[in-house]
Amino acid sequence: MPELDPFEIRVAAAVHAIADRADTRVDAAAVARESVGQRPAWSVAWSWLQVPLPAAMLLVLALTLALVAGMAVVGALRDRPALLAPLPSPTAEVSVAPSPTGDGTGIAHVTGTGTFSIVSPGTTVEVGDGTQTRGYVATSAVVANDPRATGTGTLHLDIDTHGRVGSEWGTYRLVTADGAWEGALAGGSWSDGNASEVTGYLVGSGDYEGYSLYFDVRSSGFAMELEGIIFPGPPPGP
Amino acid sequence: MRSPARWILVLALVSLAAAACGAAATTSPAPSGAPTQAATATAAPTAAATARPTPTPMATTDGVGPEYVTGTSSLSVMKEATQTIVGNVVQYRGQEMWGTGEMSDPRIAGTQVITLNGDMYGDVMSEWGTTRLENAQGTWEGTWTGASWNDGTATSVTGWLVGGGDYAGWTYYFHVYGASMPWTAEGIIFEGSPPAP
Repeated sequence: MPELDPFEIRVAAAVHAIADRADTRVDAAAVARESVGQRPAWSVAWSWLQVPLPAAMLLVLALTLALVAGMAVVGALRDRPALLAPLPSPTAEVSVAPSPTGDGTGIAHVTGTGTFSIVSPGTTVEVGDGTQTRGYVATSAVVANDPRATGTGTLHLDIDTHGRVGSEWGTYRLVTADGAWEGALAGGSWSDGNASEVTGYLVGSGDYEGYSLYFDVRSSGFAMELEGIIFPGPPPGP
Repeated sequence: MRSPARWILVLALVSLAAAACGAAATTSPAPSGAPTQAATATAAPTAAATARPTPTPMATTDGVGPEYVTGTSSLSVMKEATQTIVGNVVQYRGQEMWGTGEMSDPRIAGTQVITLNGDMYGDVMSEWGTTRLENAQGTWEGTWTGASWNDGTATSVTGWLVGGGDYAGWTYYFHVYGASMPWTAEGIIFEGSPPAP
């Protein structure tokens, strides 16, 4: 590296002297004020409250919770009139059985879902503008809110179609862990058979001896939704 | 500054928000459904007989040929049932009701008379009865079965009605269901007979 001549040495000394006089201190308060001045309005409002940022976040959370709680109260009160509606009053005393609880005992309103798959499509013949299908067999897997209606079912069905709608009837047997339900079902289909609704009274056996299950099944494609009641008595007479 | 006064102000704002929600809840209009009437109509007929209703058609189909139909259904009591208690069962027999609603097909509009029998176990009931539907072109008549729960406010019933008059040779299968009145109605109309029992 070549040595500096006297002129260069003086220039270097002068540059260092200027650099050493520069003010490099930071005014933190001024920077903070500048930053606050650029915040959105809501942030300015929080600064007016002079609440630290974590506390502000807690307040936002608290307000949100208050609103959610208020909405819950609204929902509860909207349901209340139905709960408070006068119930039918039999004219004489009667021992009321337990309310439906889905606990697998006694009287119950049951709901559930399931899927079914075709075991045999049966035989189909054309009759006029429709078709007649006989010997259709399907199996189903049902999961209900009551274990007594949860199990696997076998459906035997006959179907008459009339254009895009059809009437269908047959039998259904639902086998569960502690017993079985069996009986006749009938109903209708539409949308070329892609949607259907069948109902029926099934009679219990095994642990369900003496009970009946009213079974309403709506299906779309291979998915089904069911609803019904379980009660300690026979189905309605013919 | 983190003065207690400012914290009190913040807490007051939160309280006001919660109070506002409460006020909104107490002033919200109650639902306009008719669970009481539904319960009366299907479970324990206590309402007085009502005037003959005027059905309101909501026809959207062409009213010809096989059809999937939809609409709503409501009931009003015409004659109350007799009640007999057998063990834990309340047996309702012979209730007569007017049926009203709006359906998508003009063939099933008209005056509807329904009889209801039911065996009530706790707050669920097995039900069965008859239905006759009449309009200027003909009649639909047959039987139905089903169930109700929640003390009769929720229901699912189905029936097969045979046509008369212009509807001779046709069948109307209906399904009425839902949590409260007016219930949802759907069904099919087709040329043919109901399934044999």
